[in-house]
Amino acid sequence: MLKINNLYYKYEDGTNALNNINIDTYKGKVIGIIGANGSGKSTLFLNIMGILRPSKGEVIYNDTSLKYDKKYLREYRKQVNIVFQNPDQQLFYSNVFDDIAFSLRNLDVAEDIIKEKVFKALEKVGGLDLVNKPVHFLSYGQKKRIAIAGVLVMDSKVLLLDEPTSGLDPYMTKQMKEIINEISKDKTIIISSHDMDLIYDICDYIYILSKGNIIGQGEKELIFTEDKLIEEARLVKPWLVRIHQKFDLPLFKNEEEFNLYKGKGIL
Amino acid sequence: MLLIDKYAYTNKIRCYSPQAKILLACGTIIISRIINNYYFDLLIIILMSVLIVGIAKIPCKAYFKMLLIPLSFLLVSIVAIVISVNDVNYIYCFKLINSYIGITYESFNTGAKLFTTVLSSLTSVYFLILTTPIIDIIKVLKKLKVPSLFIELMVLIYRSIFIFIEEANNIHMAQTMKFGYENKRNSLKSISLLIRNLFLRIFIKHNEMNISLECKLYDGEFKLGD
Repeated sequence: MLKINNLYYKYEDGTNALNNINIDTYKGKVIGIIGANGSGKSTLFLNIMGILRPSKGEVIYNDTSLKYDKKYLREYRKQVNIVFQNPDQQLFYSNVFDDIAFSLRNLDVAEDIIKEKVFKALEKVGGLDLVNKPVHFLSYGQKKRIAIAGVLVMDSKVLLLDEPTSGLDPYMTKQMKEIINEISKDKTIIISSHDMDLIYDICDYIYILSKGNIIGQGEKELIFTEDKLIEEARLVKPWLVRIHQKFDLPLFKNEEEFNLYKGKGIL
Repeated sequence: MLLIDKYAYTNKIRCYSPQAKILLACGTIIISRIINNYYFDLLIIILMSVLIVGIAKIPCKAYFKMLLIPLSFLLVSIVAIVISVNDVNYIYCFKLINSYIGITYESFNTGAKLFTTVLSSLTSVYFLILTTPIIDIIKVLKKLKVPSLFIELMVLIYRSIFIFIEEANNIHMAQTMKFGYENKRNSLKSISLLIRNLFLRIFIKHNEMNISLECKLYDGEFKLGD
């Protein structure tokens, strides 16, 4: 679906933010992009969204290269959309319903269809009880859900999630994981995060970004066992990988598998 | 501002029809202007206060505190109207150098009338804003076919106020933790930094929101639906 070919991006002052980035979303259903602070994850996302224009290389969606005119970008963003890290950045209305309906109204969707879609999106993020609350009364975690619902209504094919769990408590993080698992059934998802456990749990294929370069990629079970790479990117291994390496336990694919494990030979 | 908003969402008659509340508030203002009698105004003041405190269950103390803000301005202007210099028919006056300063029947009458009219309108407005969330008022304005530009502005300003207050609070708190308001000199310095930072953050926020708007397929109009 989405492919990035030899993408370079330079800031106005000439520093290289991204160097020769190649990403292919055919490699998994949920793609993880991990890297330390300032490694270029957000810049990469803005390039994918067509907000920033790469200095070299291209973003390819369904075999056509991204064009930077208004009409094309509008069509493209119906298919590929993003949830930003900071929910306050993307909530414009004080009314939850109006805010989620915003993009649909921009597309001139009929009001009864909007209603149906908004409630469906709210249900997906477990936020039906928030619909009558003003946005400024919501907690950070609730705002984050509403922000996700506001993008889910568009039914895009590809969804970018920038730090979906940052600032969330363990319970909300777990719920967010479930939400992502749920929506990944019919969408391709690209996640950027510092939360290695989250990435390991829900991604199939992972790219490691360091100082604007992709220094490694691979299936999650393989990539996290490469000690040197993880250290170079200033990251840590997920705990599931660590207990596997230290205690000679099997390498669990996710927490669920770990929870089901009763001991050696019983799996 | 925040307090009013809190009560608007938590009062006991929040769920009543906003049309009825707007009608009552506007109606009393208009009728009191037409009748123009201070006994009637007093009646409205009492009625509205009973509605606000007794029925909507807004704490009495909070209500009077909120009333004090416009009331202090009102009193100052009433004083200026009531006191006249070198007039006739004084109720009470005293001589200062060469002129008489005091209150006349006429000025007292005007002052009292003005005071009750303003206060009755104020309590009517307070009734509306303390019992009806802005979102409900906006819905009614939409039904009344108020120009969408006006409503869009209202929606965006309302949301921005809270982002703004939150940012200002965050900066203020961080400064307090770093002893920024220990003495007068520090306070002045801190407040100037706060204003400067807020100003910068507005631009950052503006930039971020523009990006979000583009991703949400915004095309120049904040649509409001039905």
